[in-house]
Amino acid sequence: MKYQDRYEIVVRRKSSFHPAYHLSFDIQWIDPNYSLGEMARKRREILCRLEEGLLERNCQRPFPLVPQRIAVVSSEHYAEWEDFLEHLRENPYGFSFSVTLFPAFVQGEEAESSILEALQDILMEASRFDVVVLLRGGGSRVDLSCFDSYPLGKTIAGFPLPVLTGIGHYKDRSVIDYVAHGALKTPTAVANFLVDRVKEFDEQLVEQYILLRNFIQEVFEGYGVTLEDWIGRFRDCATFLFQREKEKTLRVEEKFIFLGQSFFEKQKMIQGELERAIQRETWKYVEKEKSALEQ
Amino acid sequence: MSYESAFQELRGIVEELKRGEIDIDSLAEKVKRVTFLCQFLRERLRKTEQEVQVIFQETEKKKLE
Repeated sequence: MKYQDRYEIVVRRKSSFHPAYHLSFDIQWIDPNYSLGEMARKRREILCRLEEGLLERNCQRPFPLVPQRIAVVSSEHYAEWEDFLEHLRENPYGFSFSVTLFPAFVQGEEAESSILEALQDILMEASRFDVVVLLRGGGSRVDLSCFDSYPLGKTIAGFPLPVLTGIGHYKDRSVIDYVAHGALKTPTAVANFLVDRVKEFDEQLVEQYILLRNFIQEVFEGYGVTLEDWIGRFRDCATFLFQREKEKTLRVEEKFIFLGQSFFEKQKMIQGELERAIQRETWKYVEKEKSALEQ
Repeated sequence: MSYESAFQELRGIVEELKRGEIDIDSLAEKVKRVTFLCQFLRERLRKTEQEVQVIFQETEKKKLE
């Protein structure tokens, strides 16, 4: 635990008076719990001030579907920044990320003002980015106290882009972790989170693509079935009509044959009758001649 | 001629035939016309489906690269 200026501390001391050295004041022990309690109190106070609808504001911003353009606020000298870059660049899916560093002190006295400045720079070209990431390697709890800041909390809460933190906390969440869109434990975790979001989007795309492909396949099948159905109907109708015409012709033909036959029958009958009449007449004549001869 | 207009024409002819008000001479004409329409529609459907398949294949190849 590192102590900085203006920390309230509780100590056990031994005072003594020596005639030669006057009053001496020996610090024998500092109560760390008091200092941590003091930090927690300060944090609660800031969170209370931020309460008025500000706390949730950054969380409520929609997170970009494909967070690929990233503004990083960090110190360029930290190994974590390099870890972060490496993790993004070497993601197993080959997604590309565009990362811009806005250098800032992320601990100590100047941290607050330099982070605020970096955020102001990002704000000037906010449309170039999808997400803001604030990075720092792990450290002791007191080291992180610069993140328990009202101006920082307020700026991040109201920031027009979602802000992710990866400031290496383990137990406590600092003020900016509370107001940020997402608080992750380490810079590497932030990188993994971003890769996972892009991966999710990619999976959704593949899913939609497969749905579209199947749908189009069905559309074609549907068209094919409908077309063959109508062609079949045409064939049935045409066959029926041809059949009907054929039958009509056939009936006319039959009637004709029938009529012809009956004509011949009639002729035959008439002829027969005629023959028989002639026979009869001839016979009569022969009989008559015969009787005339006998007389 | 579009697929849609050719298909509508085919449907129209079938409806006409169903009503049965057609003489044998125009029936032969209709058969000729429908044969042409069938060929056109089947060919257009097959070609379009092939084109779409090629687009899908190219997309998938790009994705794998």
